[in-house]
Amino acid sequence: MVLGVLTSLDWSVLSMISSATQSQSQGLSPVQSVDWRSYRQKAAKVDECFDDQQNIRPEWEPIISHFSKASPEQLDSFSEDVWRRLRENGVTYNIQGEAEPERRTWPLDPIPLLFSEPDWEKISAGLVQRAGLLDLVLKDFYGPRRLIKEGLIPQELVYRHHKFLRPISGQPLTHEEFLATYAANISRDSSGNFWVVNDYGEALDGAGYALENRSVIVGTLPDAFASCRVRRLASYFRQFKEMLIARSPKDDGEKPRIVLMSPGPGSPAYFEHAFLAAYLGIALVQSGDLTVRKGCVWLKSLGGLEQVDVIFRFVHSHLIDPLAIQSGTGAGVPGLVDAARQGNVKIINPVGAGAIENPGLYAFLPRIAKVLIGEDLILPNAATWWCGGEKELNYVLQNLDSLVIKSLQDKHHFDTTFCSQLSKGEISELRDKIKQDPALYVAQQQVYYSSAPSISEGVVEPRRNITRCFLTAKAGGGYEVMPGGLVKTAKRVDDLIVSSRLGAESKDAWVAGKPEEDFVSLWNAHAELGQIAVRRSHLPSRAGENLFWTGRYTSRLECLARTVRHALNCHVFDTMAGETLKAEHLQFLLNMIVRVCNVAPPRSERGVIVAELSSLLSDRQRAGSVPSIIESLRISTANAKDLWSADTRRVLNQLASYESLSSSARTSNTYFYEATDKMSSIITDINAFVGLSLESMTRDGGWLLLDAGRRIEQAQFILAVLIESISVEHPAGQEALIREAMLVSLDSLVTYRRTYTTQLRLDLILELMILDRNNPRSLTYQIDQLDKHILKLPNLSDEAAPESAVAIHLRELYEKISLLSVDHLLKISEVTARREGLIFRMDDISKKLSELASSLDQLYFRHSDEFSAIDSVDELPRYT
Amino acid sequence: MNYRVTHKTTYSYSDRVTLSQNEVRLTPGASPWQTVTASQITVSPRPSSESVSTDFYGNQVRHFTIEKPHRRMTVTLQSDVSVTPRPVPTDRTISWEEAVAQISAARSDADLDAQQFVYPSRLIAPSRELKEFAASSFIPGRALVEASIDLMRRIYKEFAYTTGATTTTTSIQEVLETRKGVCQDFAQVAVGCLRSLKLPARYVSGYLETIPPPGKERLIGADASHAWFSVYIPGFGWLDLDPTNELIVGERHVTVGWGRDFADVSPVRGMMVGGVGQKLDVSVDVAPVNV
Repeated sequence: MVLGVLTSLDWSVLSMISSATQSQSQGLSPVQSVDWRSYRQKAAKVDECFDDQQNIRPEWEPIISHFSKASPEQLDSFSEDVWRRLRENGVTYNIQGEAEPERRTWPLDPIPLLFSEPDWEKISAGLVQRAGLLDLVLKDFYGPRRLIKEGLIPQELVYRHHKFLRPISGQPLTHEEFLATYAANISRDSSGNFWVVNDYGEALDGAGYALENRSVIVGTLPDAFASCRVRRLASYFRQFKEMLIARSPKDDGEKPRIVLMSPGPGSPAYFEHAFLAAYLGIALVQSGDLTVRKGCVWLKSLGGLEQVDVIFRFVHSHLIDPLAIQSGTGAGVPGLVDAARQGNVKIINPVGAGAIENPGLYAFLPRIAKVLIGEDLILPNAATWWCGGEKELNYVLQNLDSLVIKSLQDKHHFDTTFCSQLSKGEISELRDKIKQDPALYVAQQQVYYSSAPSISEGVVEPRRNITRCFLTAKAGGGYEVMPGGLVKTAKRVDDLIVSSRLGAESKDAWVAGKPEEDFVSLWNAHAELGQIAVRRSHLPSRAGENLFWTGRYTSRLECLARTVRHALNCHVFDTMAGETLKAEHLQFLLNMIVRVCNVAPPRSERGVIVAELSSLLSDRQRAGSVPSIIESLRISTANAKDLWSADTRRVLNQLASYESLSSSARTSNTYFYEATDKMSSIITDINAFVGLSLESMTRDGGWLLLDAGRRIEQAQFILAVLIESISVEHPAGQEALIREAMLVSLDSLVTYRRTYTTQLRLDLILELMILDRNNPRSLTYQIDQLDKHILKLPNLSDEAAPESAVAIHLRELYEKISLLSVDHLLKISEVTARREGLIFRMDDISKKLSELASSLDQLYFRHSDEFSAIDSVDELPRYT
Repeated sequence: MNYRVTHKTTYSYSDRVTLSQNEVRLTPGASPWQTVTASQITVSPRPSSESVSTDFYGNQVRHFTIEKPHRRMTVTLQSDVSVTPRPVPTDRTISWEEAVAQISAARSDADLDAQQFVYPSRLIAPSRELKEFAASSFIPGRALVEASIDLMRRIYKEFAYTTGATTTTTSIQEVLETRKGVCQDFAQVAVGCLRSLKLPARYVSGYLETIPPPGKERLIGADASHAWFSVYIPGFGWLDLDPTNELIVGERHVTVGWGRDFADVSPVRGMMVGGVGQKLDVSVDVAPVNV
């Protein structure tokens, strides 16, 4: 009855929308453009959008009416609109390639997948029941192991699963849920029932993408979203954060410090980690940011060591603590498991929770449910056979063709195999493999997923799909299901399975219901969520270090681009007095670039100007070249991803997309014209970045370090340019060109001309570039800024050394600069015919700056915590 | 017999270690045939924190962190242990095939617990070669106890005790091929053989009392830690056998702990920051004490 009322309501809203849409978009063809007949022919036996009478399910009407009347071009533009929004938000995922991960824009289909209220009620009841049950299973696996002793599950199946971790056993079990958060893939099969296809107990990827998908799709389908009465996601995340806070081991009412632990920028879902950390208002860290001391976990931050109470991890158990759990990689935080065992930190989910991902568990779960909770499973899981049993093995070997094979080993040893996709030869290989060690393998009945509409190249077609659902334990007990989820859809219309390897795409999951119940506006909630009582952390040292290097690389790139552009201009445009003079000057510029900008020496012989120019512009392998610095910059900005504003990210994306002008005619003038423009746009982008960070970043440690990096780099550049250009007197013709080049690369030619109306005089140049406090391009100005920033950084001095090394170096820098005199600097030694005073002073200051930089590194970043193993090779002789 | 065991491990580094996290399994465990009256682990430099836990197999683990920069770390165990004669299996009739069947069915808690020592572990996986080597001891129908003792005897006879021929990373496959190694290798080969036949076997770490050559004095600290294997005899329990010395483990063996392989009971494991050029010095003394 309730359903009927809802439906009619939906219908009435629908007619309003469709008329509104029509009136808005004139020129729209009144006939339906989407060929639903063809859709139904291609659809799976059960389709989410059409019922078995081939009628559109009423709850889908608002969605379908939006797409039905669109032409192929309009459908394409829907896809493009979604893609553009994702790209602008920088929503990416990394493909683990052979060499290095490749970043791609997250694929999202414009049509959401809708769950009706009654369907969702059943799904949530099933998932809540399952989470509670799996929590009991985990507590038993790592506790009394009653399930094994009473024969409810074979010991071998449990113990040989690679995520069952012996070192976790025997840890004190509290009344709290072991499974604080949980995810499951569900799908409807050809009988119309929902099934659980996979369980996840740790490193639960997807909730952040689900949130991002929602924010994009709401923007493209606001009307349908309203008429479908879609439930909001925000309240789920609020409950999730409350759970994190409630887990804090602190019992003195103090606010807990919570961090999100990510494997780092190389991991496939790094975008999501950065996004969720920002959304939840907690610090994003990697294992290198944490250290265990005195039995507790500490964040290495700009403010020193800060104690961490709760770790929300996206790092798998076998990579979390190399001391407790040996995986051979050495990755992780040594001592973390021991700190958790002592109760000084809570890890969500606790290390070892992956044991519920055991694929063979499905075969035994229905009985376990009966015994542990006295209930039948509300949501069934696929029929499953563990090959460790003789009967089961025989069945599996006889029916291999139609089964899905999973293993107790990790996926590097054996990945889930759909036998329906294998050739005869492959099947027989697999059969032999299983026979060798049957207990390692588990077979499951293949579930044939239902289909739902997706847009593919301007056509609406059915695609099979699965949905990942997320649950969080509630602070007061029990579980809450996120009303939504991350839908994955098959790449092609005839794909029976949905697999990321085959290029699955995603969808937003809409749950129809009572939105008012969980009505908290997403962005409101965002603001509030960030404020929910957790202790603010200083910037992690690693993020600080990356900002510092971001500063250095932007400045280095700017100096390089400006100098290279000048060289290109000379090469392409200058019609100077003579070819010889031009060649000599270009050679001088190229030598200067190599020395001043720390570029690796040229591979080609001296004199091949054109080759050298093009190498600077395009040789990725050459240290210090334009593309190599852009890559370094990209890596450091990616490492601090959660700190950039959307606009800053856009500029950074643009910078990173520099293509190294690798056209065929690398020596043609056209190529160099283009390159000149390219250098100009790099300079513009960098200044946009600097301006944006100036405007949008708070003046905390992060921005200070970013700018400090820029200042140090800029100062070093000034010193190097001076040494390179004027340590000797050049022949008259050269000298004038060099003075100009010097001012151009230091971006001060205009300033000079405005300040002094004379010719380019060396004494005035030095005055302007070194001593003038008001010239923002001068050395003194850089040091003044550096001084201001350093004063504002957290003071980490202790009683033993009240003045930090950084402060000492800074003081000495000022002393050295105060001793400079232009006359002395310009004096030419009679013995060497060089300006020895200038060379010595500039060099001396440059060294001091380097010392200052490394003392900053020591004081604030010092995360050189490279652990190595202490061996125990003491099995020595005794007796013969 | 009563012993005072002193096991001192010294690590020296040519470079400073600024932080180290360690877990050690050095404390002898209590059992019906072994009583530990006093036991102490001393670490230098002084740890900033310490804790104790019991691992999956019931061994005692000491965890500690050193935050003081150092170039040398010593871990010293001193333990007073009294060892009494162990029971010997009286019913020696159960054949090894019957044992395999009984353990696979695992109808008692003891059998079930033993069964986990049949599964492959990181360092010891069953193989055809190990099975073949075991086959001449495990002839069809032979009693499990007899066959296991024969396996111990054959390893003692056919393998050369050679220090330096192997390291902790040498695979048992390699040891089986070269027939050279030390106590740890022999124990692991024996475990591998039994496991290949689906018989539960575990790796045991401990100490053995030194008996000086006739007429000479006992040299203090000249000993080393020791290892042997244990085979599960249904209805009886674990029978410890020492293939390095061709001995049924008795009063002269002090047991520290056991696991699936060496990695489960490694005496000292740690991770450190810094500390290039690591050197290790171990001295063990198992001195008889007259009570």
